[in-house]
Amino acid sequence: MKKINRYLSMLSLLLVVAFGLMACDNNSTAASTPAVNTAVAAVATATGAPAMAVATATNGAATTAATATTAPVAKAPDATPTDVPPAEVSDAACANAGKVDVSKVKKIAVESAATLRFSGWGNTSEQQVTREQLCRFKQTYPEIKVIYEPIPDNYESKLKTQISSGTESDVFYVNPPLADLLINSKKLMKLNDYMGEAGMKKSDFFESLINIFSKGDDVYGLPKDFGSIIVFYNQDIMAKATGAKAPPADGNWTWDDYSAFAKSLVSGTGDSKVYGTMHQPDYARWLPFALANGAKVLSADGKKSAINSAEAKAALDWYYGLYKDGTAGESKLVSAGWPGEAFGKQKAGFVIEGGWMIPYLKDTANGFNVKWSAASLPKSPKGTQGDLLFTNAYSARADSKFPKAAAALVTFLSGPVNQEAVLVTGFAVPTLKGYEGNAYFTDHAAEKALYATASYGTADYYGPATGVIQKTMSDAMNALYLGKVDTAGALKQMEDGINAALADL
Amino acid sequence: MAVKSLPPQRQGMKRKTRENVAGWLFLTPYLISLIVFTFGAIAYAVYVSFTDLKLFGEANYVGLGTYGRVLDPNNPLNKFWKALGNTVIFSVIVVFFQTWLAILFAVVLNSKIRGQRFFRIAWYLPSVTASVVISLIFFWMYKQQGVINYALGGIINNTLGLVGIHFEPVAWLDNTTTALPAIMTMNIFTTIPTFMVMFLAGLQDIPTDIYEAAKIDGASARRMFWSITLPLLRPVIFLVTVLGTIGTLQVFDQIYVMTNEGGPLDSTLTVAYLIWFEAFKRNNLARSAAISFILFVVIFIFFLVQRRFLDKNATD
Repeated sequence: MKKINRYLSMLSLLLVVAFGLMACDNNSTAASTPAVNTAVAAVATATGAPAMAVATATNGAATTAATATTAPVAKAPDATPTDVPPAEVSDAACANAGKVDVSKVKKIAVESAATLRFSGWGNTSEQQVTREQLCRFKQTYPEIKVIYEPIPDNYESKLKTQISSGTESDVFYVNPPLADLLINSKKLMKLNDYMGEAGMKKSDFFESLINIFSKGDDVYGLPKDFGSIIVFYNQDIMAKATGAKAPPADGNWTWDDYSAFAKSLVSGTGDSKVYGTMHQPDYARWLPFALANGAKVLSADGKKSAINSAEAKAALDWYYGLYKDGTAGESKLVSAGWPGEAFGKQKAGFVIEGGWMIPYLKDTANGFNVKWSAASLPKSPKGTQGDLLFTNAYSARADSKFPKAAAALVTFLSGPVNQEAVLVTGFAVPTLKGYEGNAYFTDHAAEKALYATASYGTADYYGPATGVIQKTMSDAMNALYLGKVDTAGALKQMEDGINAALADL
Repeated sequence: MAVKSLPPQRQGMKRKTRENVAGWLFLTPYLISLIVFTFGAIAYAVYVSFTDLKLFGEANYVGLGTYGRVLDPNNPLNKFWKALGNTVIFSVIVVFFQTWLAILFAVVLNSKIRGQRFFRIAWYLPSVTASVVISLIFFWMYKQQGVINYALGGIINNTLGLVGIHFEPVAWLDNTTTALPAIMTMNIFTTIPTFMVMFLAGLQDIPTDIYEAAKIDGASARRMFWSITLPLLRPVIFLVTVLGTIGTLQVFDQIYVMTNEGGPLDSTLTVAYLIWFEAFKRNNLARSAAISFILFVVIFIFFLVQRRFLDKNATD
């Protein structure tokens, strides 16, 4: 017993020391911020959590799909990307970058002998697309040297650690969950003046996209590209199915047409079953239908949940109903990591996915041989269209040594010259307005349908609590699929979780 | 030689001081890093846990507010109790099985069997493999159309299938009831070998004459195991359960690799994962630090309990 007492007194001594430190330190709080991550990392190690030692994809989309802007999809920890050393883009990587008509770019006057560091996520094929964009930048601004430092894995954690220690790149990708955090803590450069110099306006971009990275009129990030949800259908499966009618490309079809189309594509049983479609327990696949039906995630002032509505319930009943009756499956039922893989393996007649499907299906390494076509999502019973838009931005760090050069890189990459060049490579659709009539869309139906969603879609962004709200909605979807709650219960769970998240800010 | 010219007494004292100084000098680099990176960091984390510090934010002293929020059972976003429940279940079951199986394997390997060396190597291999790698292998094995379902299906359907019992494939990690047990099984599999080696060493420390004496008195093998082997292994059992408990209460990497943020429905969420999640996904450093110290207290209590029951010296 004596020894136990000794241990307890040691413990209390530790606490007394801690309280003492607290009392001294309480007045000088703000200064200590850069040390924060070190401290927490140390605690994690002390308690045995090897936070830094693990290298596996948490965001399945980032690795499974060769994608510009990814939506949250089921996790598949295969294909862990390898680290790439920071380097300037080589001439060899520029072979397919194309020639920039420099006269079309309104240049910013930049510092002399500027060197920038640039970071973003992306697997090997996205890194190559990024390098080609940097090649185009180099043609335009030969006086600026850019070191590309891709962060293929654990981007958010790594960026947060870098920012904590002040070692982040001059220009880097920002996703919506990071946007509020970084803007409010003044880590990002205000871009308005430089945009003016580069001949760009906030209104050049789709409002729902650029508003994520803005505070009022102040812009802190320019959307690099965007994704949304459309229908990808397998033409071979459709040709074999009796009574299958291809969906119209312009989205002029209904939920009933969609259900009938899915039902007509179902065949087989057991391991050889081909599902009509994939309805994942993922809020990002159901929400586009709910939004089309007039549902809202947050109230108009953004202070309360609005998700528990009749509109949302109708969409959830219908979405889950197709899963319940076996018309729609989910990827795990066919041992696929995400619906795109199920589609590639011809286990689903169609899937509702985004632009990341296009390079994924084309990539010969995946070994798919699918003849596919695409169409917009159907209209809701109210006759309205809706979609969920996923986007990310280029931002510059607030205290960059070369602010003008950094702004030049941000504005060039998100500017019309580069975005049009990216569009033509088939990698992503522009975040800028006015490309509806672009020649590229005439024979690229999927890209055309994707670009069109920007005019009626809603951004997948819910203010500072975005990350918590997204997870809350997916958790409720999972609870529904696992039979823990019914559709009304799932919506109630979303409502409670969202309200708690907003109260927690 | 200046040293030689000194009076003998002073010379002795001086040497002692000098040795002390040298000792401290040798220790200094380590002590500095220990103080700065361990004690300093821990002290700072204690401080952070009494504030509302968020990533890139300012720390405001909130007393026990952060602890209150972390322990509040009524907040729908609060996952601490769920995580603690999972962790304790994980720890108790894994430690129980891994300790007993490790003893069993050690006793088997300690007896004279054919191919002893082969079995020692074969059984030890899992513990020298990185846990992330093992986790990835099991991740694929546990899939709906993975090896485990294939094997179980083959065995059960070809035997019990004859009497009408059929095995349906299970997506082990996607099911709230099977996900945590699946990870526990894997963890037991990977940690047995390390502890088995400790028990092997412990077994070799037991003098053979005790067994010989018992044999002469007519003790059966089972009796010798319960009355000689186990009691004499007690210090090793104490060590193994303490190490096992600390390790399992901090289980993180398996959860990080094999599950989607502790899913499905937080059924595999553990406290160590929650610590990481609060800091790196939710940017809430204060909560992360607070949970760390609660976990520390939990581990400490577990240790005291085990000490009370297993360590002979402590209970005197």
